[in-house]
Amino acid sequence: MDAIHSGRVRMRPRWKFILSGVLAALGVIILVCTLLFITSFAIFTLRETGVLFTPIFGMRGLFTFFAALPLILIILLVLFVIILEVLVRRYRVGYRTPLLVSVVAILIVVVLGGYGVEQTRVHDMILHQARLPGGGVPPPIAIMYRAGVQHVPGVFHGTIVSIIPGGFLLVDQDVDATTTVYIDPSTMIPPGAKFQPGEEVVVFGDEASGTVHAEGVVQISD
Amino acid sequence: MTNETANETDEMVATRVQDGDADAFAMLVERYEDKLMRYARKFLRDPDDAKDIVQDVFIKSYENIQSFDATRRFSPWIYRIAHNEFVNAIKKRSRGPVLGIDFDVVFPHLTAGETADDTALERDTKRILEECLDELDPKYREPLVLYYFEGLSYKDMADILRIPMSTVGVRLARGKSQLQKIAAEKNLYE
Repeated sequence: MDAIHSGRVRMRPRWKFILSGVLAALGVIILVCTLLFITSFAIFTLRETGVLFTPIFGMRGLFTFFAALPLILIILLVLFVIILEVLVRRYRVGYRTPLLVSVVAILIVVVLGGYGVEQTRVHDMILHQARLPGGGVPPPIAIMYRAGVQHVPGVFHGTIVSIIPGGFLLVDQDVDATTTVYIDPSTMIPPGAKFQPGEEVVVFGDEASGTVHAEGVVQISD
Repeated sequence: MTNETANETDEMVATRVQDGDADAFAMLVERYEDKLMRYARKFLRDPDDAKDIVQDVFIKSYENIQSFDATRRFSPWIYRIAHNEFVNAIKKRSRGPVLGIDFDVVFPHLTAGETADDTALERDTKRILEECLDELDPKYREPLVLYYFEGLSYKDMADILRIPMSTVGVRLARGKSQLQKIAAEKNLYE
């Protein structure tokens, strides 16, 4: 008590604790928004390149999927989830919950939320602007978007422009590339599928001189 | 101390301190000094250290009193500050990670709800605990001290140690198991 009365020991002012609380809450909000952006961008790049659909084409498709996963985004996702977990542990709801449960809950929210953000097509709009000269997208962002949707070997996402004997012609309008796709009895296609001009599809198979012998084709509906 | 001030709850007194009544803090010191000294002696096992560290606890709690939420209970709040100071003291002494990576808080646990031991069992446990405290892992010693000597609930302990309530149960169970082994080796059972 002597130290208190003499002023050697002083109360820290309330505003410092309020500021600390506000900054922590702000940190949580920013981290959640960042995580939603990272997840939605990852889902967007996987959808735009067609890689999202390759797991249905068997082991090779699954391997292509994992090989094409945006590793940097995954590392950033893990890092930010860890930071968010540390921040959340400050609060009773954080430390009273087993770590595994709270991490899984964060991941579920982030993945579902990211999927929801991706469905708004905001990334499609940004990509479109990033491809236009003077589109107004800051260069680092434009580079990130263009790099994210680069063609993945063996995966072709486009629109059928015409049916030809034994297959169809596929156009990726974003990069103005035409690919000839041949289908044979070993091609994995949905039961009863009939391909028509104007349909958006993902084709899985190796390319040689602009021609693909499709291992699998899947129709994409919005 | 008047009857009126004696009937004030810890939370009311803390609010007075927050409003600038520094002398009210003396009431909190009076109420908690013995409890925190007992907690310190049993957890730290060094009586010389205990007095200095408990003084630091009161200094820290006065300095940070504005962070106390008066809608919550004061006891877990000051015990939390004490826990932090005691753990820092042990870390300084041991020069290594005291409690290490805590896998107890990673996974959810299915444990029985909090039930009071019967009086005889509790008395026995306290007696054995007194004899064997030194040999217990600090990770299990602390919850046993808080439960058997400070009489705190699982809920309070969860807030003090910042762990899930199920983990409090797990640590108490493992602590008691360790205690039983040590007691059996020392032939402490009557």
